[in-house]
Amino acid sequence: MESNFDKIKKVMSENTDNQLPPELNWDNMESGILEKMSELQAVQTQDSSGKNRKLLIFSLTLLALILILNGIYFGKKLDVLAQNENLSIEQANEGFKIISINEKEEQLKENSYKNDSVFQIAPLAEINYFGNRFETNTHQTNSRPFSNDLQKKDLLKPKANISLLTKRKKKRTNESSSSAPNEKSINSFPSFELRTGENLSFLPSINFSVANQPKQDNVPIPPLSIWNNSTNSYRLSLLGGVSFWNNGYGNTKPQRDEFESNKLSYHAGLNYIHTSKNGFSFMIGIQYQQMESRFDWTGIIPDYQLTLTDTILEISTDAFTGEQTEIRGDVNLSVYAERKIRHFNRTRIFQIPFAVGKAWISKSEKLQLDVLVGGSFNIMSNNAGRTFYQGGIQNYNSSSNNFLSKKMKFNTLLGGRLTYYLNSNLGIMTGFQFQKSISNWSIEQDIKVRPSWVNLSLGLAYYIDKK
Amino acid sequence: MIDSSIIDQIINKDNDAFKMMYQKCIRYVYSLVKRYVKNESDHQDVIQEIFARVFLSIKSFDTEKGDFKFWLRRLAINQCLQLYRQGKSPKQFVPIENANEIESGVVHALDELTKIDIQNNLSKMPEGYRQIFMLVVIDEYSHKEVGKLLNITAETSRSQLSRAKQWLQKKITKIDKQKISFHGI
Repeated sequence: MESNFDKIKKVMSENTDNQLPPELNWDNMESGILEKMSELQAVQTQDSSGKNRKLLIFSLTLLALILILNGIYFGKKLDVLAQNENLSIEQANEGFKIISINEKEEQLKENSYKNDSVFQIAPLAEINYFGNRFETNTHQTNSRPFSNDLQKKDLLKPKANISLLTKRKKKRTNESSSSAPNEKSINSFPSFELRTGENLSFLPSINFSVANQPKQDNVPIPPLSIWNNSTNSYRLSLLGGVSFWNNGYGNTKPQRDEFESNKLSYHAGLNYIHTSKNGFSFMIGIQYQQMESRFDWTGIIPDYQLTLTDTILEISTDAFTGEQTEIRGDVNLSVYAERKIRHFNRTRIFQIPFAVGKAWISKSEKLQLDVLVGGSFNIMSNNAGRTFYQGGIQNYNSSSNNFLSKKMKFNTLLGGRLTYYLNSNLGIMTGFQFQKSISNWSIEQDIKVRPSWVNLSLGLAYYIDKK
Repeated sequence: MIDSSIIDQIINKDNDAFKMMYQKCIRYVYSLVKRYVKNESDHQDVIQEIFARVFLSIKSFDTEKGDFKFWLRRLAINQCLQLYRQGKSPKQFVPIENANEIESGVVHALDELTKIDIQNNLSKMPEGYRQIFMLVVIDEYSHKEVGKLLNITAETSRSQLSRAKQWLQKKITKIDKQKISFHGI
């Protein structure tokens, strides 16, 4: 048989003495080739612009991640600064109180100006500026003694701007902390002078004044407040659930798509989430994703050959005895047949998801909401199934990997989680996650596969530690 | 087939050199296209595409590493198969179940098979078999390479080739039987 093929090979390989059809002469072909060249160049340009677009999306995602991480870093830094400032300002406030009271008393004695209005203190602007980070009590202790004790409308106008005030306060803090305040040092403090009868609105510090806020005690508390600033949390969460997915063929649907339908799929994952004091989170984990599809194919075989073995071909009856004799044999029949194939195909993926986000916790600390933005890498994948390809039924599996590339892929990720804490360590969780692949999974030319999927999860969250 | 100087000239966008290359290669390319593309109306289009690609990608050809003919053959075959991937060429693959039912036309004794007879018989081979038979037996592609070209596995390629050979075997058996019955009479 091989020699027969060798003969065929020889005949076909030498088959170059064709008579060229006239339409293949250079003169007839030149314009067509040039036209094809320009078309190909245009396609190449489109491909490169597509690559640029991918690069742009990747860069933007990366930039967003950097910005959010940056936010977490500076958030922490501000927190530390605020804590430092808290100390110095509290110390400084004590100084102000003494100064202000003393000066006020002197001024009041001199001017004997009487009014029932509440005394307003402009320097408290600095305190209020960082006020969100302090306990409300801080303001109360700073403001109430003046309002209760003095009950006068006296305006305190800073000579310098706010930034200078801070410096001066610090200077004053050093003085006041080193020794008990005395009259001399207090009087020499140059920051403020009291003036009466001036409108508060002209003061540069008015925008920051505690006095401008209508009622400090009645600040509405949102149902979900910003993460408790004294808590760092480390959580492990185990989750799993259902997935709805789409192949993401776009305009490049292959023929096999006509016979395949996507089915409800599954996922499971283990995540680690670190939430910093200011509520910014970083999540990393491992996730298993299984995409299911069903292949339904019906083929018509107009002349299917069927062999009936040991079949009665003829019954002969003896005319005299009436005895019947069966003649048996095999019969080949050509029948009209319908072949139906149903097969469940699956694609399995192992991913490393990572994301940054923000966490909110309810006042009761029972409910926690996380919003996460990031991406995921497919580190392992395989697909197995049966499909219609190039006019025939084809089986594929993880070793053959016909349609999907095994290379690492990048997907964007958007997610949200709601956790209800059963106790201080354990919580039950529901989650939502959307992923869309940026990479093309297909190894077939001219076919793009950029799947997207939505995961709905249920799971458990476990606090490793709270610091 | 083509001197490296001509290739250099083509890289430098010399139209005369390109024309010279075309005239030297067109017969070979045409024979390849005829083998892989059944529909004659597609031949001109495919050949134009092949030469356009040659012109655009000739920079990637390394004269020291390979033979231009081999490179051109790969490019041409790939372009021919592109038609099937795009679905422009009619699917003439016969499912495995029906493969045995294909009737051959004219049957010749193997010894008397001429070039045209071989071409005719190969053209009657189901498309799925024929492509793989051509690629593996005639153009000496490995099953792995065929797998990559046709987006099938090497195993599928092997089994399709095996069935293609069986298909041919049946033809030869029929030929032999006919010869015997002819001589018997």
